[in-house]
Amino acid sequence: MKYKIKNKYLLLAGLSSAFFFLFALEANAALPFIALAGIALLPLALGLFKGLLSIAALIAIAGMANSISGRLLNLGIKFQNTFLDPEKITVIQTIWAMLRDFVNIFFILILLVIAFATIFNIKNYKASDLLPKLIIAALLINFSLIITIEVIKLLWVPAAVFLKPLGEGISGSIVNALNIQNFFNPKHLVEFIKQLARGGSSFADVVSTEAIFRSIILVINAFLLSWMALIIWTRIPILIGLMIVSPIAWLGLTLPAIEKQTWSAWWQKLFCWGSIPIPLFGLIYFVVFFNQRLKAEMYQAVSDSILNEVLPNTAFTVGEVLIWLITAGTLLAGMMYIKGLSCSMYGWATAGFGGLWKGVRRGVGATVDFGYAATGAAEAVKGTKGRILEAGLFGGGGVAGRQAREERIEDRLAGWAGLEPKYKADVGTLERAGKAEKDIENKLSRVHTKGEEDKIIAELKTKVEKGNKDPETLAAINTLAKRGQLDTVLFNQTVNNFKDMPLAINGVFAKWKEGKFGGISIEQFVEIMRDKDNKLNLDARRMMYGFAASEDGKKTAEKFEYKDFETGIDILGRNTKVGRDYTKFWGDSSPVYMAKYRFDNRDDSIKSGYSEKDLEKIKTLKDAVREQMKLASVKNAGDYIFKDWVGDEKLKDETGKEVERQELFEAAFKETLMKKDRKFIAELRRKLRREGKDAQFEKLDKITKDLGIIIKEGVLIEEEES
Amino acid sequence: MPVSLVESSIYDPYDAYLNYIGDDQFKYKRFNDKIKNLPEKLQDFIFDTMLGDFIKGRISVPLGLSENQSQETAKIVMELIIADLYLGNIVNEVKNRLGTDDQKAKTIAGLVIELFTPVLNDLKKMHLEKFAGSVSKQEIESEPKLEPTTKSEAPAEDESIVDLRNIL
Repeated sequence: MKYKIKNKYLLLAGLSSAFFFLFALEANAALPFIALAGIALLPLALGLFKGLLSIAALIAIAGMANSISGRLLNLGIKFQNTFLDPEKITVIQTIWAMLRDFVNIFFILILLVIAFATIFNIKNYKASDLLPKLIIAALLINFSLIITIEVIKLLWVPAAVFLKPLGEGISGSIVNALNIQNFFNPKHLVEFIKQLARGGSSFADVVSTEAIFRSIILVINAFLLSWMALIIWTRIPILIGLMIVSPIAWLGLTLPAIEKQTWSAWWQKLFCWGSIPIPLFGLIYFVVFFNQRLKAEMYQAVSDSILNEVLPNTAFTVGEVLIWLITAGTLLAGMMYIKGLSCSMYGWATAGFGGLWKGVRRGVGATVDFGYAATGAAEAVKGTKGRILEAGLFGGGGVAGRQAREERIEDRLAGWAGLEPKYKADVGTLERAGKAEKDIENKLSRVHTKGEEDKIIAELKTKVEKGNKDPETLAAINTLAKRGQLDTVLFNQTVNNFKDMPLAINGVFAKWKEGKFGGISIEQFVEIMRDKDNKLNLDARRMMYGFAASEDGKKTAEKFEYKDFETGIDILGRNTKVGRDYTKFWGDSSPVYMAKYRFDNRDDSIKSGYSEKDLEKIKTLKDAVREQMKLASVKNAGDYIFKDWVGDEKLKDETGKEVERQELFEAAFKETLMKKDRKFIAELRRKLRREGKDAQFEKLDKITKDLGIIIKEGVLIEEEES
Repeated sequence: MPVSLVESSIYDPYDAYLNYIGDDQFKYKRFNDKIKNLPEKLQDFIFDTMLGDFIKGRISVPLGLSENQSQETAKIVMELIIADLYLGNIVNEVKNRLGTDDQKAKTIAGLVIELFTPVLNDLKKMHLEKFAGSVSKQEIESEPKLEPTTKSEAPAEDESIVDLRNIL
């Protein structure tokens, strides 16, 4: 016998019954003994009754728990938005207002902190770092409650998508899915009696198996429903708490020391608890509808299968149990992940915020551009293209420029919003690299001989050559760049190492610019600047174009072709500080390039800067060059780029004919000089001679000689005419 | 009356010389090299508009020189600066190349020496170095003069040679 009698009542009853039965046989007085045996079996009956009662109680409690948690779940969902509405629960608003007023006091203190930090140059606390945040926080703190409510509402929207098909009583759907009613269906009772009648199993076997099975099912069901109800009800006080403390979170935005614990943590919790209904209802939705499909598959498609067989000692079919197992299992597994999923919303939102902003900006930009292009003919399209490529009126930088601008804005906004900045990892590496760089500089400052210095430099080069992507390598690169020792090999290595860290690359370029791009030839500089392989980011290229258009980089500008010059304007923009410096430099250095750019864009008064009156005078490219240099001083003319004087680059004029750069210059300069006095030429000669600009000097001699002839001829003609 | 752009190739020594060179690149290069090798003070002097104005206002117009004579005077000035001509031979050069009489040549030479006032010492130093072999040191070091006082003080037997000591 498999069943072990552990119950003392059963043991007592069994022994009493056996004794009385034997005694009755002997005494031939069966009846009293039978009666006595019946009495003796009473403890057994009582024990069985108690057992049944215990099981029944357990089932009843579990059933009640099912019912209560189901109701709680429904209520929680129903009143979720009511409890989270400060207009209905006005106490939220009252406490929030008190806290907001209290927090406002701290803004004055923070202003003082900023003031002192700025004076003592404390990193991260200076006015430039904190003032924008402070202003935003001080303004938005007054809307912190509304912002919180709106975020909560926003996060409820996707949850409602899942909730709607499930109907009002979501617990009902879950109960249906778990088939709870079916497990207590009277047909099962009939089946239960049938099981006993068949005599295949003992009463105890059947009862115990049934009871245990039912209890487990009910307990798990109750556990699931309670878990859901708990989540839904816990969400309410937590979100109310977050609403109330929202002013503190906004205050935290302004203080880096507590930003992580306040601002970041607050947003994380808000997203975590605000979005929890999304995966929860999504899970229930999935389980309920998956369950329906499962039932259909099991009972319809395979009606005669083993699934319809009744399990031994239970009143359940294999199919029912299997469905329950899959359904409950999916729910249980899902429940374990929903918290994690909802808390991931913060991370997704961080990434999504940046992406959304970028997308919106690009979408709007593209729509505007397309709309503009669509309004006109080819010229309009050309104009649009130019405008996109050009900086634009509001300080952009064309397509690439806009991207860079957007990235910066995204980072700034992300920072303000307490979201993780895209380049946070870069910043960490940069900070460590900055420290390592200081160490290297200290080491270099302590050397006494050139040999020692060379040794350190050689070590740094070896480090860079290894190609590691660590702060120490970056520090070595920066040191070499700053000292103008970054050759093309090391540079390529750097770009390959840190290509996914634009901030690091920018840092290297900034140092390299400091080192006047030493280590490479002018040709290599131009080659890198052109960036044919798209290795560089926009800021790095900007630095190169900016450097070329400076006194230090003038020699590199000599190697420019018109296309390079035009790209420079596109990249730097005309309305940015660097863009203005760039166009000023080129205006001073190359009247030919500047005039060509303006002349080619003469239809666009913003780009060309030509007035109607100017355009009356400027009909040809030569006119444009002459107009460009008409106000030139001796210094300007003497500083005109070498290739303007003697360059043979072919440029297309107004007829599309190719003209040599020097030809354009010469023709325009002759006309310019005709309007100047002798002193101008004499001073220019002096300047060119002093500066050893032989080629320009010779050209000037040629021009003045021709000029003499032209003037003479002109005079003669005039005389003849007169 | 200042020299205009049109008149530059007549009165301005540099432009007049350029005009004389024409398209001869060899001559131009040689000329340019000479200028490059001059002291900075003399280079600046060459490119001073005062030279042309002086030649026109103080020499050509008052002495009634023709355009060609004026141009030749400007060229002589240029040649003296680049030391193609010896300063002591100025009277002779003026007389021969301008086709003037002695007196006029001496006047023009005197004015040219006056024109050189700001750079005379540099010029003399340069001529000393260049013509040391062909002319006695004493002649060059002495101040140039337009009228030789005594025969013995004359730098050479040739009367057309001016004693530089007497110029100023």
